[in-house]
Amino acid sequence: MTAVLTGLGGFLPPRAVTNDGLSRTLDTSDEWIRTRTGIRERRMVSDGLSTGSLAVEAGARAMRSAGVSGVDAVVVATTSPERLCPAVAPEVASRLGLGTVAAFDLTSACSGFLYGLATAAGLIDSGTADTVLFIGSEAFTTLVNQEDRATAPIFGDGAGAVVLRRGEPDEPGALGPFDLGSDGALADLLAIPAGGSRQRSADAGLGHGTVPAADWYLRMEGRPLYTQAVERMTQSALTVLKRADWPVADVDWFAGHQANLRIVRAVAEELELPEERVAVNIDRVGNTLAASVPLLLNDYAARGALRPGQRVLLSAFGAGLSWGSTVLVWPDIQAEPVN
Amino acid sequence: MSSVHDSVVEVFVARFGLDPETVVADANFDDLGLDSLSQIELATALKKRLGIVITDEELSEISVVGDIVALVEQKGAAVR
Repeated sequence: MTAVLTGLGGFLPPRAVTNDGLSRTLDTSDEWIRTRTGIRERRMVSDGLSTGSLAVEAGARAMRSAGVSGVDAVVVATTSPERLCPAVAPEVASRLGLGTVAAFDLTSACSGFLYGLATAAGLIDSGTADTVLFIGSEAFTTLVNQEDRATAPIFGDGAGAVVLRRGEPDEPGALGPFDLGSDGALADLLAIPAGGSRQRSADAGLGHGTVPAADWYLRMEGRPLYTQAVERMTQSALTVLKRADWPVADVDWFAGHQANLRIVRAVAEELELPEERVAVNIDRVGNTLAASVPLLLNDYAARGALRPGQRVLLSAFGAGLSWGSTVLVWPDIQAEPVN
Repeated sequence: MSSVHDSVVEVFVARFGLDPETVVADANFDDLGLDSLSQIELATALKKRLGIVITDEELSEISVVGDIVALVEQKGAAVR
């Protein structure tokens, strides 16, 4: 038994924020952001849109793409949860009219889509589910300090979703071997210190007013992360290619997590993949964490750049640290353009 | 100027699309419009194009183009 990709959908919140828009309130410029990150604009949640509502929209589109009205399980990968408790997946399932199906969240930051795909595939492999709706959904800009010029320009909000079904290993869409890894010794390179049990326990009895405001937002050490991202994604990609017995030259599309254009290009360079096989949409959406890879796939599939039969390499890296990769032959599925 | 200087300038020009006239010995990364990630990108390019490996520690001590040329000269000499 193998999990096979059978539906794909994406959704972006309507509010687009350009680099010029950011530079009105931040000491930065379009040129500065573009040359350092490759990003021109990003979408940001507003007017009550959040992780759950983005997930519902993307999930509905993926189910429409798959031509199904029901699934056996809903998994949401997010690092910008609606609330600390409960998980948002049950609510998403309910709002999609899926009743009382199995539903849970999974947290693995920017590698969330790869960890989630492996987990969803595992539900199918183990016989627990025949079909799974898996959604990467993020309203992460709410957790980024919009006064920090190092991190504010990088992130965007959105959701990407897939439907997986039980199938055969040799059919198009079958998820290939996975490689997953982590290095918790470097957890502090990318972290939001406040809000969780560590901070609450340390501050017991003192109240939340004692926590410095910056601790509620993302902290990032860009330089060591860049080195780790390039090394880990490259190694992970090479590992799955070897397991799948695919030479690098056979890869039609490298769909890597859109963290920073320079990271994506550096990984492609290490893999010796020509630029025309490297999928890129970071210029329009920024880094959308767990939504990044499915939004990228949706973008390329919807405009016919990603075609049935093409060989696709997926790879991601993020906080944790954590990383993962897999491969698939692109199936004959329809995807709507994201709004 | 040494041939090593020319080689290093070529790597700067090829990797970052800079005007070779601006890549002078006392230019720092800021002068060239480059950032801290560019240092790592430069180290990768130097490794690929010249076979010279520069460690993170060495990178952190580099401030101007002349420092990189000196380091490459030193390492090139060691290799020979």
